[in-house]
Amino acid sequence: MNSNTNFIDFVSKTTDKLNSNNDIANEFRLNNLSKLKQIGLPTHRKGNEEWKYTNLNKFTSINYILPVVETEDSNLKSQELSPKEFEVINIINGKLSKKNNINNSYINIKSSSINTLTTNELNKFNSLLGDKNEQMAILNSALCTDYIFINITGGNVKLLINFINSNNSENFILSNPKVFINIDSKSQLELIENHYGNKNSKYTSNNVLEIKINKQSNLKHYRLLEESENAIHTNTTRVYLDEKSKFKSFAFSKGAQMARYDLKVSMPHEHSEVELNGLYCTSGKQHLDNYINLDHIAPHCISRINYKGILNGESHAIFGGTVLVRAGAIKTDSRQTDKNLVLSPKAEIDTKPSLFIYVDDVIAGHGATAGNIDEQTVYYMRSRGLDLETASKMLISGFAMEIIDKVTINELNNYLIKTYINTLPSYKFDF
Amino acid sequence: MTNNKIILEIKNLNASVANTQILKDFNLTINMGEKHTLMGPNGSGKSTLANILAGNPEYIVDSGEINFLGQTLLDKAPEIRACLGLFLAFQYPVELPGVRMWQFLKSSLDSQREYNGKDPLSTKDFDSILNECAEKVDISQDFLKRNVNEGFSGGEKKRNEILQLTLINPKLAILDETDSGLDIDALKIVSNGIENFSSPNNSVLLVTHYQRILNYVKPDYVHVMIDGKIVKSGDKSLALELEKKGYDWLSKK
Ligand SMILES: Nc1ncnc2c1ncn2[C@@H]1O[C@H](COP(=O)(O)OP(=O)(O)O)[C@@H](O)[C@H]1O
Ligand SMILES: [Mg+2]
Repeated sequence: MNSNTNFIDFVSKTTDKLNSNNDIANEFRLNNLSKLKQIGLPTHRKGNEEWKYTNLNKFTSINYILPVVETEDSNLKSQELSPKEFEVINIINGKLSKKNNINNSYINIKSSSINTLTTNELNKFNSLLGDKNEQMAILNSALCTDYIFINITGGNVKLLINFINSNNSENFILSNPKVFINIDSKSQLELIENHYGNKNSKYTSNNVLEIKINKQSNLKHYRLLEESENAIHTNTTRVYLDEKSKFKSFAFSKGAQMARYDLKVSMPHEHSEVELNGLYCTSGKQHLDNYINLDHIAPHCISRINYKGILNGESHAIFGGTVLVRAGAIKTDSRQTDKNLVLSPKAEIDTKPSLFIYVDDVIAGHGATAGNIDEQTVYYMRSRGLDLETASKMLISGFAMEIIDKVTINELNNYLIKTYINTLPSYKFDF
Repeated sequence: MTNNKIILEIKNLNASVANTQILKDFNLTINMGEKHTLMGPNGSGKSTLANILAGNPEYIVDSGEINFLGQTLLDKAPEIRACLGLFLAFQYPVELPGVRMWQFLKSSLDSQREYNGKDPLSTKDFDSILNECAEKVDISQDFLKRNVNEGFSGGEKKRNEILQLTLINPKLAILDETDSGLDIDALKIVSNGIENFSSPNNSVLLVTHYQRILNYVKPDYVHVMIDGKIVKSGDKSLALELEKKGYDWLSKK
């Protein structure tokens, strides 16, 4: 019997336990469980391009215990990031903290663990981009203990959501945070999505975020991945853009033993703009997979994908970027690049930007690079008096700063310099 | 001008790149206060010499000696050579993505100061020196906020080399085709930079294959390099002769 079957057994038992009479989400959970039983989890086999490099065996072969954190955990790593003017929401092991204190009338929150959600509201989950069989999202729906709705009803809102994982036991817990964010038309949202846990804490966190950006609205999104070094993190994020809306995203990835980020962006209306930036820094035996799907459906939309990786140790990073320009999407303007600095001979990068175009009148391009530090570049710097270590540090941090520099929130910028730049490895030259 | 103190002495130098010998029994001596021009057709080995002097790890010295201010250079890393006072303006300045001009120039200068037992400059002092130097080579404040050489035009890259020369103020400046590809205004800025730098206490080795720059920079010596060695030396009238006759008459043995 393989670990997948055992795991689905576990899910099934867990879903049963989660059911209770006063939980209106029961039916939704059960529906998703039966769907999961039909379609299973993504498998790592030939021909499955989306999961070619990431094997979920590590995820499914663990004997999980249920996350039982009803009380707030006082041992939590203190959160260093608290930018001015940001409202803060804590989600602990997938459940909305009852201590959240929001002072902005443009933010409305509903949570199935606190409020009663209607069937209509629940059905919004998993349906944002049509009824696609997204296995990790369905798993999340089958095990989710709190369906969280956040409605931004206008204004210029700044919101930090801490996805905190807390486990002091020796056994792995599995949490399934699920958040739906609706941004009403003509609203601005700056969102920091911050995932973290205590240093050695053992957990798997399978997240789903669904974001609807309505007409003429604007989302600036910052995702920070700073999970524990034992953690397994999966995240399915779906973003839907309405007419003349903008989505600018930054994914900073650093922590987790293994992580998979699925970012699906759909542009079914005219004149929307997407810019996806990413920086991943891997070391040790980390495995980090970024998988982007960008769907150009309507004419006159713009997209940019701009990811960078710095790889060290025996780590393995994957970048998969699939941009689809459909037949109707004339005058699309789309570029994507993924650039990697591979600092250690044992580190491995698989980068696969791809572009599928089904219409003539478009501008589109893609490219990827992977290399280590160029000797002639370093020579130029040395010829000005800089030693090898200083020169290489300057180049590596310069490489990362190209992304960090674009972050316009001061506190976040400083935080990123502290956590990314000041901890960058130096390069061992063989010349 | 010459005070007879030897700054650079190259003796019987044989050097190669990519397993091909380029410099063949090359000899050259430069005294303090002198300006030398090294001319020669493309591929004669001028840049190879410049790279050997600056310590480019791709270029290999097979035999011979290089003495700089009384010390051998051969066992020294490029950064040590720089700290000792040797400066190379690159024929093809390298782009440093993500590395800001200000940061690069400040660190360079501070490293050299540290090696020579001086304290790093305060931000304020550095800024005023940098601004003064930038003005001299017509480089704007905006430029100093950009990444080193990234997106610079050919002429801007060359002016940036002269900015670094002015800021670092070395003992020996080797300028590898800093004049090529410049329009007349940029050529004047670059030439001025070289002339302003030049003093009785330093020396210049100007590598070029046009005599055009010699209308602005007046060398004490002109050398012609063909096939890895100097075949003729003279004063600046040699450059004018080359202008008229080309190099062919020198290569026919
Ligand atoms: N990095 C290199 N790799 C391989 N060959 C080189 C390299 N640099 C120079 N050469 C070769 O060495 C010879 C001399 O080149 P160079 O020193 O650049 O001449 P110049 O500067 O006088 O034009 C040429 O044949 C050139 O192709
Ligand atoms: Mg040359």
